[in-house]
Amino acid sequence: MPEATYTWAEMMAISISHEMADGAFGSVGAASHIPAAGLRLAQLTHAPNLSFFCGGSGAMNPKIQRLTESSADYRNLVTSEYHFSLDDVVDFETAMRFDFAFLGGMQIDKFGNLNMAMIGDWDKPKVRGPGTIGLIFTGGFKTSYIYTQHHTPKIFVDKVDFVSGAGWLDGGDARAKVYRPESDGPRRVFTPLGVFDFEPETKRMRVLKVHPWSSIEKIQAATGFELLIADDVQTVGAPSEEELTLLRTQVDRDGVLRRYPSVA
Amino acid sequence: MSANKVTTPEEAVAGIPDGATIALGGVHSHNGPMALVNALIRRGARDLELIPTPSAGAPVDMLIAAGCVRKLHVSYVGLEFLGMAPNYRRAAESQSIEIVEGDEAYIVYGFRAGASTLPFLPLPPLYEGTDLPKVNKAIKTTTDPYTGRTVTTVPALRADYGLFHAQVTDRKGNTQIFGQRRFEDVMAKASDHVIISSDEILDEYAPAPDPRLVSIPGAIVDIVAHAPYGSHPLSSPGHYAYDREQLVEYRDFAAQDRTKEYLDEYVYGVKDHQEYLEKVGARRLLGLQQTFR
Repeated sequence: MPEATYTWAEMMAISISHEMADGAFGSVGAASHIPAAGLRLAQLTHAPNLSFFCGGSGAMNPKIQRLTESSADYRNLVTSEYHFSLDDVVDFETAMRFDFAFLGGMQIDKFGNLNMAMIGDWDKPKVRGPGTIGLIFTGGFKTSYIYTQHHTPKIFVDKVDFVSGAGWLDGGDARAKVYRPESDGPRRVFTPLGVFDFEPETKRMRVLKVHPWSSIEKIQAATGFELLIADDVQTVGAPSEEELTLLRTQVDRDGVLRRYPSVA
Repeated sequence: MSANKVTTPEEAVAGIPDGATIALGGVHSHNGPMALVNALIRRGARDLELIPTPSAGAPVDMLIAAGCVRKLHVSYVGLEFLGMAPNYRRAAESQSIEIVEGDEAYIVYGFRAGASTLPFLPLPPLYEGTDLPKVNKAIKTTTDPYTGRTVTTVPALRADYGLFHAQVTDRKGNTQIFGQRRFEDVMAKASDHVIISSDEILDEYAPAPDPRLVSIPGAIVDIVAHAPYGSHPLSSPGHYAYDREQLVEYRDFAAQDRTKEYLDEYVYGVKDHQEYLEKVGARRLLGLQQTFR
Protein backbone atom coordinates (compact mmCIF):
# COMPACT_ATOMS: atom_id res chain seq x y z
CA MET A 1 0.00 0.00 0.00
CA PRO A 2 1.38 3.44 -0.83
CA GLU A 3 1.84 5.98 1.89
CA ALA A 4 -0.90 8.57 2.13
CA THR A 5 1.62 11.33 1.45
CA TYR A 6 3.33 12.20 -1.82
CA THR A 7 5.82 14.80 -3.00
CA TRP A 8 5.45 17.53 -5.60
CA ALA A 9 8.03 15.72 -7.73
CA GLU A 10 5.82 12.63 -7.78
CA MET A 11 2.81 14.80 -8.65
CA MET A 12 4.76 16.46 -11.47
CA ALA A 13 5.73 13.08 -12.90
CA ILE A 14 2.09 12.01 -12.74
CA SER A 15 0.89 15.25 -14.37
CA ILE A 16 3.43 14.70 -17.15
CA SER A 17 2.30 11.12 -17.66
CA HIS A 18 -1.32 12.26 -18.09
CA GLU A 19 -0.37 14.52 -21.01
CA MET A 20 1.51 11.84 -22.97
CA ALA A 21 -0.10 10.20 -26.00
CA ASP A 22 0.30 6.53 -26.87
CA GLY A 23 2.55 5.93 -29.87
CA ALA A 24 4.45 9.23 -29.60
CA PHE A 25 8.25 9.26 -29.94
CA GLY A 26 10.31 11.82 -28.10
CA SER A 27 13.26 12.73 -25.94
CA VAL A 28 14.23 13.91 -22.48
CA GLY A 29 17.47 15.66 -21.62
CA ALA A 30 20.17 14.72 -19.15
CA ALA A 31 19.46 15.13 -15.41
CA SER A 32 15.75 14.97 -16.23
CA HIS A 33 14.50 12.32 -13.87
CA ILE A 34 11.05 13.85 -13.32
CA PRO A 35 10.04 13.78 -17.03
CA ALA A 36 11.73 10.38 -17.41
CA ALA A 37 9.58 9.06 -14.55
CA GLY A 38 6.46 10.58 -16.12
CA LEU A 39 7.17 8.99 -19.48
CA ARG A 40 7.91 5.59 -17.94
CA LEU A 41 4.70 5.80 -15.91
CA ALA A 42 2.75 6.63 -19.08
CA GLN A 43 4.26 3.54 -20.75
CA LEU A 44 3.07 1.41 -17.83
CA THR A 45 -0.45 2.87 -17.88
CA HIS A 46 -2.24 4.34 -20.90
CA ALA A 47 0.64 4.64 -23.39
CA PRO A 48 2.44 1.28 -23.83
CA ASN A 49 3.66 2.31 -27.30
CA LEU A 50 5.15 5.61 -26.18
CA SER A 51 8.91 5.71 -26.95
CA PHE A 52 11.53 8.02 -25.57
CA PHE A 53 15.26 8.30 -25.44
CA CYS A 54 17.40 9.78 -22.69
CA GLY A 55 19.67 12.61 -23.79
CA GLY A 56 23.23 12.30 -22.65
CA SER A 57 23.18 8.52 -22.98
CA GLY A 58 21.06 7.69 -25.99
CA ALA A 59 19.21 4.98 -24.06
CA MET A 60 15.92 4.22 -25.80
CA ASN A 61 13.12 3.07 -23.48
CA PRO A 62 15.27 2.14 -20.46
CA LYS A 63 13.57 -0.27 -18.05
CA ILE A 64 15.88 0.02 -15.10
CA GLN A 65 13.07 0.57 -12.52
CA ARG A 66 15.39 3.03 -10.79
CA LEU A 67 15.71 6.72 -11.56
CA THR A 68 19.36 7.45 -12.16
CA GLU A 69 20.91 10.82 -11.27
CA SER A 70 22.71 10.74 -14.57
CA SER A 71 20.67 9.83 -17.63
CA ALA A 72 23.92 8.62 -19.18
CA ASP A 73 24.28 6.05 -16.39
CA TYR A 74 25.29 2.69 -17.82
CA ARG A 75 22.35 1.06 -16.04
CA ASN A 76 20.04 3.01 -18.35
CA LEU A 77 21.97 1.86 -21.40
CA VAL A 78 22.05 -1.84 -20.60
CA THR A 79 18.28 -1.95 -19.99
CA SER A 80 17.40 -0.03 -23.14
CA GLU A 81 16.15 -1.20 -26.54
CA TYR A 82 18.58 0.81 -28.64
CA HIS A 83 21.56 3.09 -28.12
CA PHE A 84 21.26 6.36 -30.00
CA SER A 85 24.54 7.73 -31.22
CA LEU A 86 24.85 11.52 -31.27
CA ASP A 87 24.58 11.23 -35.05
CA ASP A 88 21.15 9.62 -34.59
CA VAL A 89 20.15 12.35 -32.15
CA VAL A 90 20.90 15.29 -34.44
CA ASP A 91 19.51 13.44 -37.48
CA PHE A 92 16.18 12.86 -35.76
CA GLU A 93 16.15 16.38 -34.29
CA THR A 94 16.91 18.09 -37.58
CA ALA A 95 14.71 15.85 -39.73
CA MET A 96 11.72 16.46 -37.40
CA ARG A 97 11.36 12.79 -36.44
CA PHE A 98 10.74 13.53 -32.76
CA ASP A 99 7.12 14.15 -31.81
CA PHE A 100 8.23 15.92 -28.65
CA ALA A 101 11.12 16.87 -26.41
CA PHE A 102 11.30 17.87 -22.75
CA LEU A 103 13.32 21.04 -22.30
CA GLY A 104 14.17 23.49 -19.57
CA GLY A 105 15.88 26.82 -19.10
CA MET A 106 17.49 29.12 -16.57
CA GLN A 107 14.97 31.65 -17.91
CA ILE A 108 11.57 30.89 -19.49
CA ASP A 109 9.46 33.74 -20.86
CA LYS A 110 5.75 34.31 -21.45
CA PHE A 111 6.00 32.94 -25.00
CA GLY A 112 7.96 29.85 -23.92
CA ASN A 113 11.34 31.04 -25.22
CA LEU A 114 14.23 29.41 -23.33
CA ASN A 115 17.63 30.68 -22.19
CA MET A 116 20.50 28.48 -21.05
CA ALA A 117 23.37 30.73 -22.15
CA MET A 118 23.61 33.78 -19.90
CA ILE A 119 21.79 36.31 -17.76
CA GLY A 120 22.64 39.96 -18.38
CA ASP A 121 24.43 41.21 -21.49
CA TRP A 122 26.48 39.00 -23.77
CA ASP A 123 29.39 41.44 -23.42
CA LYS A 124 29.24 41.46 -19.64
CA PRO A 125 27.27 38.45 -18.42
CA LYS A 126 25.95 38.56 -14.86
CA VAL A 127 25.51 34.79 -14.78
CA ARG A 128 27.14 32.49 -17.28
CA GLY A 129 24.86 29.52 -17.94
CA PRO A 130 25.93 26.02 -18.93
CA GLY A 131 25.11 26.61 -22.61
CA THR A 132 22.48 26.09 -25.25
CA ILE A 133 23.03 22.31 -25.82
CA GLY A 134 20.10 21.04 -27.92
CA LEU A 135 17.70 23.95 -27.51
CA ILE A 136 17.90 25.24 -31.09
CA PHE A 137 16.12 22.01 -32.00
CA THR A 138 12.87 23.51 -30.75
CA GLY A 139 12.85 24.40 -34.47
CA GLY A 140 12.95 20.69 -35.34
CA PHE A 141 10.72 19.00 -32.74
CA LYS A 142 7.06 18.63 -33.71
CA THR A 143 6.32 20.13 -30.32
CA SER A 144 8.05 20.58 -27.00
CA TYR A 145 7.25 20.35 -23.32
CA ILE A 146 8.91 22.78 -20.97
CA TYR A 147 9.52 21.75 -17.40
CA THR A 148 11.23 23.26 -14.39
CA GLN A 149 11.65 22.27 -10.77
CA HIS A 150 11.75 25.94 -9.73
CA HIS A 151 8.67 28.06 -10.28
CA THR A 152 9.99 31.53 -9.38
CA PRO A 153 9.91 35.06 -10.88
CA LYS A 154 13.63 34.68 -11.71
CA ILE A 155 12.92 31.66 -13.93
CA PHE A 156 9.62 32.89 -15.40
CA VAL A 157 10.56 36.28 -16.84
CA ASP A 158 8.75 38.62 -19.20
CA LYS A 159 11.50 38.31 -21.82
CA VAL A 160 14.56 36.04 -21.82
CA ASP A 161 17.96 37.78 -21.92
CA PHE A 162 19.14 35.37 -24.64
CA VAL A 163 17.10 33.08 -26.89
CA SER A 164 18.76 29.65 -26.83
CA GLY A 165 15.60 27.86 -27.87
CA ALA A 166 12.66 29.51 -29.58
CA GLY A 167 9.22 29.07 -28.10
CA TRP A 168 6.50 31.10 -29.78
CA LEU A 169 9.08 33.93 -30.29
CA ASP A 170 7.15 37.24 -29.99
CA GLY A 171 3.78 35.48 -29.92
CA GLY A 172 0.93 35.50 -32.45
CA ASP A 173 2.13 34.11 -35.78
CA ALA A 174 5.79 35.13 -35.23
CA ARG A 175 6.99 31.54 -35.00
CA ALA A 176 5.24 30.28 -38.13
CA LYS A 177 7.20 32.80 -40.23
CA VAL A 178 10.53 31.30 -39.16
CA TYR A 179 10.31 27.51 -38.84
CA ARG A 180 9.04 24.64 -40.96
CA PRO A 181 5.26 24.21 -40.63
CA GLU A 182 5.59 20.70 -39.13
CA SER A 183 7.51 22.12 -36.16
CA ASP A 184 5.15 23.63 -33.65
CA GLY A 185 6.00 25.64 -30.55
CA PRO A 186 5.82 24.45 -26.95
CA ARG A 187 2.58 22.72 -25.98
CA ARG A 188 2.75 22.54 -22.19
CA VAL A 189 4.78 23.82 -19.25
CA PHE A 190 5.09 21.62 -16.15
CA THR A 191 6.15 23.12 -12.82
CA PRO A 192 5.78 22.11 -9.17
CA LEU A 193 2.74 24.42 -8.99
CA GLY A 194 0.75 23.34 -12.03
CA VAL A 195 0.40 22.72 -15.75
CA PHE A 196 0.27 25.48 -18.37
CA ASP A 197 -0.42 25.82 -22.07
CA PHE A 198 -0.18 28.72 -24.53
CA GLU A 199 -3.31 30.60 -25.55
CA PRO A 200 -3.88 29.75 -29.24
CA GLU A 201 -4.12 33.33 -30.61
CA THR A 202 -1.61 35.35 -28.60
CA LYS A 203 0.58 32.31 -27.70
CA ARG A 204 0.92 33.65 -24.18
CA MET A 205 1.42 31.22 -21.31
CA ARG A 206 -1.84 30.28 -19.60
CA VAL A 207 -2.77 28.41 -16.42
CA LEU A 208 -4.44 25.10 -17.32
CA LYS A 209 -4.22 22.93 -14.19
CA VAL A 210 -3.48 23.86 -10.60
CA HIS A 211 -1.76 21.28 -8.42
CA PRO A 212 -3.63 20.37 -5.21
CA TRP A 213 -1.45 22.41 -2.82
CA SER A 214 -1.29 25.44 -5.09
CA SER A 215 -3.65 28.20 -6.25
CA ILE A 216 -3.90 30.71 -9.09
CA GLU A 217 -2.81 33.45 -6.67
CA LYS A 218 0.29 31.50 -5.59
CA ILE A 219 1.17 30.72 -9.18
CA GLN A 220 0.81 34.34 -10.28
CA ALA A 221 2.94 35.54 -7.35
CA ALA A 222 5.70 33.12 -8.40
CA THR A 223 5.67 34.28 -12.04
CA GLY A 224 7.45 37.36 -13.40
CA PHE A 225 4.74 38.27 -15.93
CA GLU A 226 0.95 38.30 -16.06
CA LEU A 227 -0.44 34.84 -16.75
CA LEU A 228 -3.58 34.16 -18.74
CA ILE A 229 -6.06 31.76 -17.15
CA ALA A 230 -7.91 29.08 -19.10
CA ASP A 231 -11.72 29.29 -18.95
CA ASP A 232 -11.88 25.66 -17.84
CA VAL A 233 -8.92 25.84 -15.43
CA GLN A 234 -9.09 22.93 -13.02
CA THR A 235 -7.54 21.90 -9.75
CA VAL A 236 -5.87 18.53 -10.13
CA GLY A 237 -6.90 15.78 -7.70
CA ALA A 238 -4.39 13.91 -5.54
CA PRO A 239 -2.56 11.07 -7.32
CA SER A 240 -4.40 7.74 -7.35
CA GLU A 241 -3.15 4.89 -5.23
CA GLU A 242 -2.52 2.85 -8.38
CA GLU A 243 -0.33 5.56 -9.90
CA LEU A 244 1.71 6.05 -6.75
CA THR A 245 2.19 2.30 -6.37
CA LEU A 246 3.35 1.91 -9.97
CA LEU A 247 5.66 4.90 -9.62
CA ARG A 248 7.22 3.57 -6.42
CA THR A 249 7.52 -0.10 -7.36
CA GLN A 250 8.26 -0.07 -11.09
CA VAL A 251 9.72 3.34 -11.95
CA ASP A 252 11.45 4.77 -8.89
CA ARG A 253 12.33 1.92 -6.54
CA ASP A 254 15.06 3.97 -4.85
CA GLY A 255 12.59 6.74 -3.99
CA VAL A 256 14.46 9.56 -5.73
CA LEU A 257 11.22 11.50 -6.17
CA ARG A 258 10.22 10.87 -2.56
CA ARG A 259 13.27 12.88 -1.38
CA TYR A 260 11.53 16.07 -2.50
CA PRO A 261 9.32 17.89 0.05
CA SER A 262 6.00 16.23 0.80
CA VAL A 263 2.91 18.19 -0.09
CA ALA A 264 0.20 15.93 1.27
CA MET B 1 55.59 3.31 -36.38
CA SER B 2 55.95 0.31 -34.15
CA ALA B 3 52.98 -2.01 -33.98
CA ASN B 4 52.83 -1.45 -30.25
CA LYS B 5 51.21 1.93 -29.62
CA VAL B 6 50.87 1.41 -25.87
CA THR B 7 52.52 3.79 -23.44
CA THR B 8 51.78 5.66 -20.20
CA PRO B 9 49.33 8.58 -19.87
CA GLU B 10 52.25 10.93 -19.15
CA GLU B 11 54.16 9.86 -22.28
CA ALA B 12 50.96 9.92 -24.33
CA VAL B 13 50.43 13.68 -23.88
CA ALA B 14 54.11 14.67 -23.83
CA GLY B 15 54.05 15.64 -27.50
CA ILE B 16 50.99 17.89 -27.32
CA PRO B 17 52.31 21.44 -27.73
CA ASP B 18 50.94 24.51 -25.98
CA GLY B 19 48.30 26.19 -28.12
CA ALA B 20 47.03 22.90 -29.58
CA THR B 21 43.37 22.39 -30.44
CA ILE B 22 41.97 19.41 -28.56
CA ALA B 23 38.81 17.39 -29.20
CA LEU B 24 37.87 16.01 -25.80
CA GLY B 25 35.72 12.88 -25.41
CA GLY B 26 33.39 11.98 -22.56
CA VAL B 27 29.71 12.60 -21.95
CA HIS B 28 28.66 14.21 -18.66
CA SER B 29 30.01 12.02 -15.84
CA HIS B 30 31.16 9.21 -18.13
CA ASN B 31 34.16 8.24 -20.25
CA GLY B 32 36.25 11.35 -19.61
CA PRO B 33 39.93 10.75 -20.45
CA MET B 34 40.90 11.87 -16.94
CA ALA B 35 44.34 10.27 -16.79
CA LEU B 36 45.29 12.24 -19.92
CA VAL B 37 43.69 15.43 -18.61
CA ASN B 38 45.52 15.09 -15.28
CA ALA B 39 48.79 14.55 -17.14
CA LEU B 40 48.21 17.69 -19.22
CA ILE B 41 47.47 19.72 -16.08
CA ARG B 42 50.50 18.32 -14.24
CA ARG B 43 52.70 19.15 -17.20
CA GLY B 44 51.46 22.75 -17.17
CA ALA B 45 49.97 22.79 -20.68
CA ARG B 46 48.96 26.30 -21.78
CA ASP B 47 46.74 28.09 -24.30
CA LEU B 48 44.77 25.02 -25.33
CA GLU B 49 41.70 25.40 -27.52
CA LEU B 50 39.13 22.86 -26.33
CA ILE B 51 36.31 21.42 -28.40
CA PRO B 52 34.59 18.98 -26.04
CA THR B 53 31.55 16.81 -26.80
CA PRO B 54 28.21 18.61 -26.53
CA SER B 55 27.88 17.41 -22.90
CA ALA B 56 31.09 18.47 -21.19
CA GLY B 57 31.80 18.42 -17.48
CA ALA B 58 34.48 18.17 -14.81
CA PRO B 59 37.52 17.62 -17.09
CA VAL B 60 36.88 20.93 -18.87
CA ASP B 61 36.28 22.72 -15.57
CA MET B 62 39.57 21.33 -14.18
CA LEU B 63 41.61 22.31 -17.25
CA ILE B 64 40.22 25.85 -16.96
CA ALA B 65 41.02 26.01 -13.22
CA ALA B 66 44.58 24.88 -13.93
CA GLY B 67 45.10 27.70 -16.45
CA CYS B 68 45.50 25.36 -19.44
CA VAL B 69 42.71 26.84 -21.60
CA ARG B 70 42.75 29.83 -23.93
CA LYS B 71 39.58 29.16 -25.91
CA LEU B 72 36.54 26.94 -25.35
CA HIS B 73 33.78 25.89 -27.73
CA VAL B 74 30.65 25.65 -25.57
CA SER B 75 27.59 23.52 -26.08
CA TYR B 76 27.07 22.58 -22.42
CA VAL B 77 29.61 22.71 -19.63
CA GLY B 78 28.29 21.69 -16.24
CA LEU B 79 28.53 19.09 -13.54
CA GLU B 80 25.24 17.45 -14.56
CA PHE B 81 23.39 16.39 -11.41
CA LEU B 82 25.89 18.33 -9.26
CA GLY B 83 25.03 21.69 -10.80
CA MET B 84 27.04 24.43 -12.51
CA ALA B 85 30.72 24.09 -13.43
CA PRO B 86 32.19 26.81 -11.17
CA ASN B 87 35.55 27.44 -12.87
CA TYR B 88 34.04 27.59 -16.33
CA ARG B 89 31.43 30.00 -15.03
CA ARG B 90 33.98 32.29 -13.36
CA ALA B 91 36.31 32.26 -16.36
CA ALA B 92 33.47 33.07 -18.76
CA GLU B 93 32.06 35.82 -16.54
CA SER B 94 35.49 37.46 -16.06
CA GLN B 95 36.31 36.83 -19.74
CA SER B 96 39.65 35.25 -18.85
CA ILE B 97 39.03 32.64 -21.56
CA GLU B 98 37.58 33.07 -25.02
CA ILE B 99 34.15 31.50 -25.43
CA VAL B 100 32.80 30.30 -28.76
CA GLU B 101 29.05 30.20 -28.19
CA GLY B 102 27.99 26.91 -29.77
CA ASP B 103 25.50 24.16 -29.12
CA GLU B 104 24.88 20.51 -29.96
CA ALA B 105 24.33 21.19 -33.68
CA TYR B 106 27.44 23.37 -33.94
CA ILE B 107 29.61 20.67 -32.34
CA VAL B 108 28.08 17.54 -33.90
CA TYR B 109 27.60 18.87 -37.42
CA GLY B 110 30.94 20.68 -37.14
CA PHE B 111 32.79 17.47 -36.35
CA ARG B 112 30.81 15.60 -38.99
CA ALA B 113 31.96 18.11 -41.58
CA GLY B 114 35.49 18.01 -40.16
CA ALA B 115 35.61 14.21 -40.28
CA SER B 116 35.06 14.33 -44.06
CA THR B 117 36.97 17.62 -44.45
CA LEU B 118 33.81 19.21 -45.86
CA PRO B 119 34.06 23.00 -45.57
CA PHE B 120 30.72 23.42 -43.72
CA LEU B 121 27.25 21.94 -43.40
CA PRO B 122 24.00 23.70 -44.33
CA LEU B 123 21.00 23.36 -42.03
CA PRO B 124 17.25 23.96 -42.28
CA PRO B 125 15.74 26.74 -40.11
CA LEU B 126 16.94 26.00 -36.56
CA TYR B 127 19.28 28.84 -35.58
CA GLU B 128 16.88 31.40 -37.02
CA GLY B 129 14.91 33.00 -34.21
CA THR B 130 17.65 32.26 -31.66
CA ASP B 131 20.42 34.61 -30.53
CA LEU B 132 23.30 32.25 -31.34
CA PRO B 133 24.14 33.68 -34.80
CA LYS B 134 24.34 37.15 -33.19
CA VAL B 135 27.20 36.11 -30.91
CA ASN B 136 28.86 33.37 -33.00
CA LYS B 137 29.86 34.95 -36.31
CA ALA B 138 30.91 31.55 -37.67
CA ILE B 139 27.22 30.64 -37.95
CA LYS B 140 26.42 32.18 -41.33
CA THR B 141 23.90 31.93 -44.15
CA THR B 142 24.31 31.06 -47.79
CA THR B 143 22.11 30.25 -50.77
CA ASP B 144 21.22 26.62 -51.42
CA PRO B 145 22.30 26.29 -55.07
CA TYR B 146 19.60 23.66 -55.73
CA THR B 147 16.55 25.49 -54.40
CA GLY B 148 17.69 29.10 -54.17
CA ARG B 149 16.60 29.19 -50.51
CA THR B 150 18.68 30.73 -47.75
CA VAL B 151 20.26 28.14 -45.46
CA THR B 152 22.23 28.53 -42.25
CA THR B 153 25.70 27.01 -42.16
CA VAL B 154 27.99 25.75 -39.41
CA PRO B 155 31.73 25.53 -40.05
CA ALA B 156 33.75 22.32 -40.04
CA LEU B 157 35.54 21.61 -36.77
CA ARG B 158 38.90 19.87 -36.69
CA ALA B 159 41.34 19.29 -33.86
CA ASP B 160 45.08 18.71 -33.71
CA TYR B 161 44.56 16.01 -31.08
CA GLY B 162 41.56 13.90 -30.10
CA LEU B 163 41.61 12.52 -26.53
CA PHE B 164 39.20 9.71 -25.65
CA HIS B 165 38.74 7.14 -22.92
CA ALA B 166 38.05 3.49 -23.74
CA GLN B 167 37.36 0.35 -21.78
CA VAL B 168 39.51 -2.03 -23.83
CA THR B 169 42.08 -1.37 -26.56
CA ASP B 170 44.53 -3.64 -28.31
CA ARG B 171 48.19 -2.90 -29.06
CA LYS B 172 47.29 -1.67 -32.54
CA GLY B 173 44.81 0.84 -31.13
CA ASN B 174 41.55 -0.92 -31.99
CA THR B 175 39.36 0.77 -29.44
CA GLN B 176 36.28 -0.48 -27.63
CA ILE B 177 34.17 2.24 -26.03
CA PHE B 178 31.07 1.09 -24.20
CA GLY B 179 28.49 3.54 -22.96
CA GLN B 180 27.05 6.10 -25.29
CA ARG B 181 27.55 4.73 -28.75
CA ARG B 182 29.82 6.13 -31.40
CA PHE B 183 30.47 9.77 -31.55
CA GLU B 184 34.10 9.43 -30.51
CA ASP B 185 34.67 7.83 -33.91
CA VAL B 186 33.47 10.99 -35.68
CA MET B 187 35.59 13.19 -33.41
CA ALA B 188 38.58 10.89 -33.99
CA LYS B 189 38.14 11.22 -37.76
CA ALA B 190 38.09 15.01 -37.29
CA SER B 191 41.40 14.91 -35.35
CA ASP B 192 44.91 14.87 -36.85
CA HIS B 193 46.20 12.71 -33.98
CA VAL B 194 44.22 10.33 -31.78
CA ILE B 195 45.22 9.43 -28.23
CA ILE B 196 43.24 6.83 -26.28
CA SER B 197 43.36 6.18 -22.56
CA SER B 198 42.26 2.61 -21.92
CA ASP B 199 41.38 0.78 -18.71
CA GLU B 200 42.64 -2.49 -20.19
CA ILE B 201 45.04 -3.44 -22.95
CA LEU B 202 44.09 -6.63 -24.70
CA ASP B 203 46.79 -9.30 -24.58
CA GLU B 204 48.24 -9.74 -28.05
CA TYR B 205 47.65 -13.49 -27.89
CA ALA B 206 44.06 -13.17 -26.65
CA PRO B 207 41.24 -13.65 -29.16
CA ALA B 208 40.76 -10.48 -31.21
CA PRO B 209 38.04 -8.18 -29.91
CA ASP B 210 34.59 -8.62 -31.39
CA PRO B 211 34.82 -6.22 -34.36
CA ARG B 212 31.20 -5.20 -33.76
CA LEU B 213 32.37 -3.66 -30.49
CA VAL B 214 35.32 -1.72 -31.91
CA SER B 215 34.39 1.97 -32.01
CA ILE B 216 37.60 3.46 -33.42
CA PRO B 217 39.82 1.50 -35.82
CA GLY B 218 43.48 1.19 -34.86
CA ALA B 219 44.47 2.61 -38.24
CA ILE B 220 43.61 6.15 -37.08
CA VAL B 221 44.83 5.77 -33.48
CA ASP B 222 48.34 7.08 -32.76
CA ILE B 223 48.88 6.39 -29.09
CA VAL B 224 47.21 4.19 -26.47
CA ALA B 225 47.79 5.13 -22.84
CA HIS B 226 47.33 2.18 -20.51
CA ALA B 227 45.35 3.81 -17.70
CA PRO B 228 43.51 1.46 -15.35
CA TYR B 229 40.65 3.47 -13.83
CA GLY B 230 41.72 6.11 -16.32
CA SER B 231 38.32 7.85 -16.25
CA HIS B 232 38.12 8.09 -12.44
CA PRO B 233 36.36 9.98 -10.79
CA LEU B 234 34.08 9.73 -13.82
CA SER B 235 32.61 6.41 -14.87
CA SER B 236 33.93 3.94 -17.39
CA PRO B 237 30.71 2.26 -18.55
CA GLY B 238 30.71 -1.47 -17.87
CA HIS B 239 33.88 -1.22 -15.77
CA TYR B 240 33.18 1.19 -12.92
CA ALA B 241 30.65 3.78 -11.80
CA TYR B 242 31.47 7.44 -11.20
CA ASP B 243 32.91 8.28 -7.78
CA ARG B 244 30.16 10.50 -6.47
CA GLU B 245 32.02 11.31 -3.26
CA GLN B 246 35.09 12.63 -5.06
CA LEU B 247 32.99 14.53 -7.60
CA VAL B 248 31.16 16.25 -4.73
CA GLU B 249 34.55 17.01 -3.15
CA TYR B 250 35.63 18.58 -6.44
CA ARG B 251 32.38 20.54 -6.81
CA ASP B 252 32.61 21.90 -3.26
CA PHE B 253 36.23 23.04 -3.65
CA ALA B 254 35.45 24.52 -7.06
CA ALA B 255 32.35 26.35 -5.82
CA GLN B 256 34.46 28.02 -3.09
CA ASP B 257 37.15 28.95 -5.63
CA ARG B 258 39.54 26.57 -3.87
CA THR B 259 40.09 24.24 -6.83
CA LYS B 260 43.85 24.52 -6.34
CA GLU B 261 43.54 22.52 -3.13
CA TYR B 262 41.83 19.70 -5.01
CA LEU B 263 44.45 19.81 -7.76
CA ASP B 264 47.28 19.91 -5.19
CA GLU B 265 45.89 16.77 -3.64
CA TYR B 266 45.01 14.69 -6.70
CA VAL B 267 47.00 16.08 -9.63
CA TYR B 268 50.09 18.12 -8.68
CA GLY B 269 50.63 16.08 -5.51
CA VAL B 270 51.25 12.85 -7.40
CA LYS B 271 53.87 12.22 -10.04
CA ASP B 272 51.82 10.09 -12.40
CA HIS B 273 48.65 8.07 -12.88
CA GLN B 274 50.03 5.14 -10.85
CA GLU B 275 50.52 7.40 -7.84
CA TYR B 276 47.06 8.86 -8.38
CA LEU B 277 45.58 5.37 -8.14
CA GLU B 278 47.58 4.68 -4.98
CA LYS B 279 46.31 7.92 -3.47
CA VAL B 280 42.67 7.11 -4.22
CA GLY B 281 43.25 3.60 -2.92
CA ALA B 282 42.19 0.08 -3.78
CA ARG B 283 39.24 0.02 -1.40
CA ARG B 284 37.61 3.01 -3.04
CA LEU B 285 38.39 1.98 -6.61
CA LEU B 286 37.22 -1.60 -6.20
CA GLY B 287 34.02 -0.37 -4.60
CA LEU B 288 33.13 1.35 -7.86
CA GLN B 289 33.40 -1.78 -10.02
CA GLN B 290 30.49 -2.47 -12.29
CA THR B 291 30.48 -5.89 -13.85
CA PHE B 292 27.58 -6.02 -16.30
CA ARG B 293 28.44 -5.50 -19.95
